[in-house]
Amino acid sequence: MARRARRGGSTSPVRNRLRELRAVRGWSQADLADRLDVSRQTVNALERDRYDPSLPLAFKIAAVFGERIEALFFPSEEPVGRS
Amino acid sequence: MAETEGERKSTSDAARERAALRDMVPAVVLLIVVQGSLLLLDPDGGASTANVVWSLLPMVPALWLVWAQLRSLRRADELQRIVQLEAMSIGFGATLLLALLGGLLDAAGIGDPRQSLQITFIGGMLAWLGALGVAAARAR
Repeated sequence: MARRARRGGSTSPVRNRLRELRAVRGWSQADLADRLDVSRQTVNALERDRYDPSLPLAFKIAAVFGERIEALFFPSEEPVGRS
Repeated sequence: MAETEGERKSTSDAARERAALRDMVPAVVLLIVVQGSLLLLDPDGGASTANVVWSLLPMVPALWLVWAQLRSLRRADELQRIVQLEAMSIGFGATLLLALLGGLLDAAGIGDPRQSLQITFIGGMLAWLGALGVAAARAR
């Protein structure tokens, strides 16, 4: 699942709801990074769809938000706001 | 989205930076001391065992720095590790190209091999650090 960060905007076939869920909780990127034990830059890259996390990190993200992985990550043709 | 894009480092990032400094600062200080001593005391240049040992002394802090870099790589999160490994591969490629260039010039009887070696080392380091800097700036 892990994919190298790309320059520019999102070109990933996989998108995620990290920014939306983080905003709902009022967390900063650094707050989320603290919970995931990663750098703030990694959270930033994930939110911009410039990096797809490894499966262990994806499970950790799902646990932090109390969601299933498939509710967080989805193909880019699907609407962003689904739950 | 108040404060959500703040520049604060994550706790784990700050801990990683502190650990990297703890590993690297003593090695850099030792390298400066050893290198300074070599310049000030100026070994005799003969082929004695003492001179060989004395001349190779900077390898100790250099190996320490390699060890510190490996530890830093192991501590890095998954994206940082990819970025660091990519930067290292660029530095490695640059080093190989510069070594080839120096070898070709030497074979043609052009230039000083000692200078070529220095350029190879410095060029490889600069390519590595430059690639790291570009990747870090892009990730902000």
